[in-house]
Amino acid sequence: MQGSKTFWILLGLFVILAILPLLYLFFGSFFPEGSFSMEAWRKILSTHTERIQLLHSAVLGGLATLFAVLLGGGTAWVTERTDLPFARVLGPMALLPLLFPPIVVAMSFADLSTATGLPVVALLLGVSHAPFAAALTARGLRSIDGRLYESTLLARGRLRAELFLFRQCVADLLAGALLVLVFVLSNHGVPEFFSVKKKTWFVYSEAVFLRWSAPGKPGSLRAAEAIASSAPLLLFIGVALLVCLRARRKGTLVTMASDFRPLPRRILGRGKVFALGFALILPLLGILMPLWRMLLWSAGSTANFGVSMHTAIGSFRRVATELMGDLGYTLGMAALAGGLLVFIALPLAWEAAKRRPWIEALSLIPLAVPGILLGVALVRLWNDPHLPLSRFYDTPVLLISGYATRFLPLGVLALANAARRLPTSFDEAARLSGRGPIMRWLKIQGPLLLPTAVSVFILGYILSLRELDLAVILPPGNDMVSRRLANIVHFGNEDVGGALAVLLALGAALPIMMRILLTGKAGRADL
Amino acid sequence: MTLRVSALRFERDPFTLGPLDLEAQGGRMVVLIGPSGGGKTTLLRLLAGLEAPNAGTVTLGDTLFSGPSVFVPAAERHVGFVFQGLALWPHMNALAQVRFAGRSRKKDATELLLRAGLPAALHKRLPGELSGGEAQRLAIARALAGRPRLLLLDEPLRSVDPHLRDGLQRTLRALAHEGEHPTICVTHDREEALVLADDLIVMAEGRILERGQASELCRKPKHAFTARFLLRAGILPLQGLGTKRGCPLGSFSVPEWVKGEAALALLPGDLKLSQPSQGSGTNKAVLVPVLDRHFDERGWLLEVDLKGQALSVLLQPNEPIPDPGMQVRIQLSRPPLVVQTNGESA
Repeated sequence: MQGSKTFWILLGLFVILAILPLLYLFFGSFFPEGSFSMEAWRKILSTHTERIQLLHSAVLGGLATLFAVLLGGGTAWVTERTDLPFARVLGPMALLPLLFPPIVVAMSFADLSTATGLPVVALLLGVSHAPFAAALTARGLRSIDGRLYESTLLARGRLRAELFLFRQCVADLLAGALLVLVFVLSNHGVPEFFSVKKKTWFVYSEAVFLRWSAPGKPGSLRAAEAIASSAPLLLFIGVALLVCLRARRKGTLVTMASDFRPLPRRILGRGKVFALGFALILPLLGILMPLWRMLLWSAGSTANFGVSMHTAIGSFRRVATELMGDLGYTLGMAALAGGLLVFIALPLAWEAAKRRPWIEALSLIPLAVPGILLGVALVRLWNDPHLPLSRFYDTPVLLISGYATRFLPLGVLALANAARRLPTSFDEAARLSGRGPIMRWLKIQGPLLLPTAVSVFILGYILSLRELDLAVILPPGNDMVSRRLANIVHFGNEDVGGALAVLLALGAALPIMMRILLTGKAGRADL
Repeated sequence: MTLRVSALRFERDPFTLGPLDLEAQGGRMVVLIGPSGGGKTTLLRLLAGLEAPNAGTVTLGDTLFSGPSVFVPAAERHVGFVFQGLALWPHMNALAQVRFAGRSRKKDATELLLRAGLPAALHKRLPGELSGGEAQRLAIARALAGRPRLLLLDEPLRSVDPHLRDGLQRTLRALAHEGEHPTICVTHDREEALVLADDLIVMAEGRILERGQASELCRKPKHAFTARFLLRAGILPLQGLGTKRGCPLGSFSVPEWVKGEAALALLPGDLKLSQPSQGSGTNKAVLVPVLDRHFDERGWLLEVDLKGQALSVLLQPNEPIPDPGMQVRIQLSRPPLVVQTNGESA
C-alpha cells in the first residue's frame, strides 16, 4: 500500500514535469492572441520553407542514423560476435563519444577540414550519437542464447543462422537507430554551426527555435506556429517509438536465473586488422579528434602566435580562475539531474515491469518531443505567474527538472528491463522468510537493481552535460558549459573554450572512472 | 503438526487444479509425483500462500491458512520453500542468505549450513561460485532458516548430478524426519520419489489419482497411470463390464474396488515368448510384431505391439533375440495386475 502511494506520487510528479507543460503548450497554441484560433494549425506545412525544413530534417536524420547504425551497430557486432583482439576494451570505447557534446565534435572537425554540407553534418551527428546504436545492438546480441544460433547453424547453414541472428536483434538495432534519429532531429546546434560557417540549409528544430526566440510575446501567433509545425514530426517519432517498444517486448527475456549460453564468437582470421581499424573509427572521431583539437585550441592554435605549452597552461588557468564556477555549476546540475532521473524512473520502471506496462509508453513522451520544444513547454508553464511553479522559474530547479524529464524515458526503459530480468521467485523467497516490502527492497531488489540505477545516473549525468537545447531555452541554463561552448561559434575565445571542453569531458568521465575504481567494472544499462 | 487440505480448487485458464484433499503428518515426507504440467508446483504455491485458491481450505495444525474469506499471506505462514530454480539471491553469500531468511545470528546460520552439508569454507561464497549440489544444500538451509512449520520442496534435486544425489537425498530425509513440520516434495523423477517418500501421491492433470505408502504403490498400484508412471508398465485395456473381463491374452477377474474401466498393467517380466504349442484357456498366446529391442540391467527387452498397445517382454538369458519387424508369440508368465483406468482410485 505504501509502495503504491509512492508510485502515484511519483507518477503525479512525472505528469507535472513532462505531460503538463506539453499539454499547456498544445492547448496554448489554440489561443495565440488570447482568443481561440486555429490559424497556427491551419498553416501546418502550408509554406514552402516549412516543407523544406521538414525535408532537410528527415534527410539529415535518416543519413545520420545510417552512419550511426553502420558505425555503432558494426562496432557492437565485431566486439560482441568475433574474436577481435581487445574487444573487452573496444566495446565500451564505442560509448565514449557521448563524453563530448556534438557541437564540440563539429567544431573540432571544422578545425581540421573545410568540408561542409549535409553528409558532413550527418556524419558528425552520426558519430556523436552512434553510442546509442552500439549499446543497444550489443545488448541485443548479448541476450540471444547461443544454442538457438547453433541449432539454426546446424540445421540450415551459416547464412540462415546469420539471418536468424539478425532477426533476433533487429528490434534492439531499430531501437538504437530510433534513439539516434530522435536526438539528431532535436539537435539544432550542429546544423546551425555549419549554417553559420557556410549557409547550407535550415532544419526544423532550428526553425522552431528561431520562431520561438523571434521578437514578440510568448503567446503570439508566431510562437503558436512553432508548436503546430512540430506536430507532424512529433507524431512520426511517437508512433515509431511505440512500434519499437512493442517489437522489443516480443523478444525472449533472459532472466538472472535463466540457463543461458552466450553466442559463439566467429573467427576473423585475416580480417582482424580490418575489424580492428573499423572498431577504432568511433573512438577516433568521437573522442580523440575533439580531445586533440580542443587541447590545441587551448594551446593557442587559433591565435596568430602559434601553439605553446605556456598558452595551454594559461588557458586552463583562466578556466580555473574565471570559469570554475560555471564548470562546477554544470557538473552539479548534471549530477542532480541524474539523481532526480533515477529517483523518478526507479518506481515508475518497477511498476512498468511488474504491473503496469503502459507506463513505459507514457514515459516515452518527453523523448518523442524535440528538446527545443520541451524547453519551450517548460518555459511557458513555469513562467506563468498564475501558477505556483513560477516561483522556481529562474532557479536551478527548472533546469534539473528539465534535464531529468528529457532523459526520463531512457531511465525507465533501462530500469524496467533490469526489473524484468529479476525472477519473481527472488521476491517470493524473501516474502516467505517473512520480510516486509521495505526490507525486501533494501536487501533484495535494491542491490540487484543498483548497477543499472548507477548506469542510468551516469547516462543522465552525461546526457545533461551535452544537452544544448534545454540549456539555450531555460534561463538557469545560461551558465551551463555546453551553452558557453556553443557561444564560441559566435564570439570566439577558442583557447579558453578548448580548455573548458577538455575539462567538461573529464568531468563527464568522472563517474565512470569512479565506478571502475570502486567496482572494477564500467557497467552497462540495457536500454 | 498436521497439514490438512480439503476440497482445494484453483483455476487459471486453461488450467484447473482440484478439487483435491490431502493430509501430511509432521515428521514425514509426502512426495507428489506426476508428469510436468500436472499441477504439483501450483499445489505447493497454494500451500505457501504464493497463489490464492478459488475454493477449499488449507489448515496447518490449528491455523487456518486459507478458507472462505480467510487468506494468510505468504510472509506470515512460516513456510520453508526450496524453489525449482533455487532462486538464490545472486548478490548474497551463503551465510548472508541464511541470516536474512531466518533473521538468525551468525552462529545459528553457520550451524544450519553445516547441518545441510555445506562446509564452512563455502559459507562466504556467492551462489554463482557454488556447484549445483552445494547451491542445492544452501537452498535447503535457507528454507529451514526460519524454523518453518511446513517445508515445501519443488524438484529439489533437479539440477544435481546423479553421483551427488544419494548424499542430498539422505540429507533431505534426515531434515524432514528430525523436525515436527510436515514436508511436501514435488518431483517427476520416479527413483527420487521412491527414495524420499514416506507417503506418495500420484498427480496428473490437476487431480490426485492415487496415494499410499511408496512400497504399497509400487507393489500394487491401483491406477493405470500409477502403474505406467512408477513401474513403467504397459497397459492393456480389458473389455466388458462386471467381475470377469477379457483381452487378447485371456480373461481376468476384476477386483471389487475397480470402478468403471479396467486394464492389465503388464511389467516386462509378466510376459514371455511362447512356443506354438503353448497357450490356451485363460492364458492365451498371441502373435505380435516386434517394434524394437534394447538391453538394460534386467536383460534384453522386446517391445511388441498388441492391438495398438506397446508392451515390453523380458527375454530369458539364453533366448534368441528377435529382430524388429519379426512376428513372435507372447503369453503371460505370471498373473498380471489389474488396474483402474479412469477416476481416482479409492
